[in-house]
Amino acid sequence: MSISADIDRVGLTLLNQRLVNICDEMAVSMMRTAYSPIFSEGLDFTTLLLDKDGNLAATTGINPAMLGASLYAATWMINEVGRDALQPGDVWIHNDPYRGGSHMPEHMMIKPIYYEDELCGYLGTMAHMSEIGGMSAGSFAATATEIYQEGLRLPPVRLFINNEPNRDVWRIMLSNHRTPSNTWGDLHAMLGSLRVGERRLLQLIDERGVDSLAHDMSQLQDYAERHIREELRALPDGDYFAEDFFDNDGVEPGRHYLRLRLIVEGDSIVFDYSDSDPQAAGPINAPYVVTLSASLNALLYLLERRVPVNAGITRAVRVVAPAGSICNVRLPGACVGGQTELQPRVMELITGRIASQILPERAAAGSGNTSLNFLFGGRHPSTGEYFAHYHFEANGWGGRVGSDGNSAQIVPHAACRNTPVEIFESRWPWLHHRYSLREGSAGPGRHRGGLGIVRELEVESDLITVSALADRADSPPWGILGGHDGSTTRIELRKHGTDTFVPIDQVLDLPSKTKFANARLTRGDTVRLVSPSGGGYGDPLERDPHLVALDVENRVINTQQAAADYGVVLDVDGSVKVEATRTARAGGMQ
Amino acid sequence: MTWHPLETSWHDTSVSNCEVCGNLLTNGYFAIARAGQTYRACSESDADLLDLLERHRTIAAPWR
Repeated sequence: MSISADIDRVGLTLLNQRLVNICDEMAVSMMRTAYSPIFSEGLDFTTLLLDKDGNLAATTGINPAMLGASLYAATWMINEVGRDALQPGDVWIHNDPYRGGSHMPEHMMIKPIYYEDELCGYLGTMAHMSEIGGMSAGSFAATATEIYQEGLRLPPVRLFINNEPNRDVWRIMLSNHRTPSNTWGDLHAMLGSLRVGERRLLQLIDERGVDSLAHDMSQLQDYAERHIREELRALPDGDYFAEDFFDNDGVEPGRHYLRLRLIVEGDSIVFDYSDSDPQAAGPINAPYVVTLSASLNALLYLLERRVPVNAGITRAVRVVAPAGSICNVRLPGACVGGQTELQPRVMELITGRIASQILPERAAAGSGNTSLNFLFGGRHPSTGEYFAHYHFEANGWGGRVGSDGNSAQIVPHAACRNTPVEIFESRWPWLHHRYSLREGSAGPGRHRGGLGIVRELEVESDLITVSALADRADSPPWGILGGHDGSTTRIELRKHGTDTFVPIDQVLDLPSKTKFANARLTRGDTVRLVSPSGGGYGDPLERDPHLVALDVENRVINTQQAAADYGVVLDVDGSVKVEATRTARAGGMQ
Repeated sequence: MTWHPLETSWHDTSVSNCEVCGNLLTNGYFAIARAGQTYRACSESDADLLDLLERHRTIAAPWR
C-alpha cells in the first residue's frame, strides 16, 4: 500500500475526528453495557487509540483526568514487557500506579490490533472499577498508608491469550474484589468496547491503507506539536511560581504543600514540582502521570485553540516531579486520592494562580477542588447481596472572566457526572431527605463562585460501612484578583433518635473532618454531605448590582450578604436602591 | 551519554524512576554525567532539561 503525500489541515482535522469518533463509539459501548453506575452514570472512564509505536493517536474527551495515563501507561507497558510479548488475540490489563496508572481502581486494558497479520496499532480502555478489595469497601481508604491496603495491584498481565480468557488472572481478580459480579460485568463492558473499536479501526484501514494511515497519524501528532509550540511562543518567557496545600493527609495532622515553578522559554514549557513536599503518609500522593495530566489539562485549558489530543502535545512540555514526592509517589506509598484530590489542586495552581500572573483574561478562581469521595458497602436487606459503591460529589467552580462559576459540578479536571438520586435509592439502601444547592455559600466576586450542594442520606439497612476522602475542610477555595474565598467542605451525621447534625469526626471520634475509613452506620443514621463552593473572580463591589439582586431572588445569596459582600442595598420588593448602593459602595472602597 | 538496559528478572516487579524528571524507566536509561554526578535518565533530552533546570533554579522561589 502506498504512503499518501502530506495532508492539509482540513484532511488532518477530518482524520482526527474520525479517530476520536472511534474512541467515542467505544465509550458509548462501555456506558451502555457496564454493570456499575460509576461507569454508566459517572462516566469515569476513557478510551484510546494508539499507533503501532504505542503513541497516543486519539482519545475520547469523556474523562480528561486520565490524559496522563492515556499518554504513558500503554506505551510504558509495551516498553516494559517488550513488543514481541504482545500477540494477536491478547488483551492485557494493568492498574499499577507506579507503572503509569493514575490510581489502582482505574484499570487499563490494551489490545494489539492486526491487519492481515501485521501490527497496526493498539486500542485501550481505562476505567474506574468501583470495588477492587483493600481495607475499605469502595477501595478508597482515606487512612491507607501503603498501596497494599488500597486493593489488588496488577502489573501488566494477560486477561486474554489467543482470544481465550486467562482464567488464572480472572479468578485472582474475582476472588479479591468485594463485588465480583460487578467486576465481571464491567470487565466485559471494557472488552466489548475494544471489539467495537477494533471493528471500526479495521474499517478505517480498509479505506485508507495501513501504511497511509500510519503516516497520517504521525502527521497528526506533528500537527498537535506545532499548535502547542505556536501557542507557547505567545506566552511571555519567565519563571512563575505558585503553591497550595492539603489540610492534612488523613493519617497525620498538618498541611502538605504543592509547589510549582513554571518555566516558559521560547516554544517550550517546564512544569517543575521539585520543591513540593515529600510524599505523605496518607493517600493524597499522586503518581507521575497524574501530575503530568494536571499540567497538560491546565495548559490545554489556557490555550486559545483546540488542539488534537495525542502524543504530539507532550513534545514541547516537560514535567519534573522527583520520585518520593507528593507529586510522584514511590512504592509502597498510598496514592488512591492523588487522582481525585491532587490533580485538581495542581490544575488550579496553573489555571488560577499562574494564569492570573500571565493570562488574567483566562484565569479562574479556585473551585471546591475536592471530589468529596464517598464510599460505602454492606449487605442489601432485600437481596442479602453485598454491595459497594464509589460516589464523588459535585461542588462549586470558581468565577472567571465573563462568567460566574458553575454550580454543582464535578471537579474541573474530570468531566464526570455524579450518581443520581434514583440510582442511589434503587440500588442501595439509602433514602434521600435532601439534595439541593448550598444557598449563600458562593465566594463573592465581580464574577462569583458557583454553589456547592447539600445531600442528606438516611441508612435503610442494619449496617452500612462508609468512608470518605475529601479536602478543603479547613482552607476554603480561594478567590483571585480581588475575589473572595468560597466555603469549606463539611460531613455531618445525625444519629438515629437525635435531632441535630454534628460533624462526623466529633460523633465518631475520627482523626480528620473529611478523611476517614470504615465508619459503621446503622439504620436511621443520616449523613449530610456539604460540598464546597467556588471562589470569586474580581472585586465584588464591581459586580453589576442587578446581578446581585437576581442572586437574591434566586436564593444564591440573601439580602444581608448582598449588603455586606457586594455593597448592594435592596428595596423590600427586591429592586436595587441605586443611591443607597452607590453610597454603600463608596464607603466600602474608602 | 550512554544507554544502559535495565537488567531485571521476571520475578522482580519493582520500578525505577528517571533521576532528572521522575518519569518511569521502563527498560533502560541514559547515563548523564554532570558535576561529578551521574544521573539515570529516561530520555536523551534530559541532558538539556538538566541544564535548563540548573540555570533557572538560580532564580529564587518565593517560598525559600
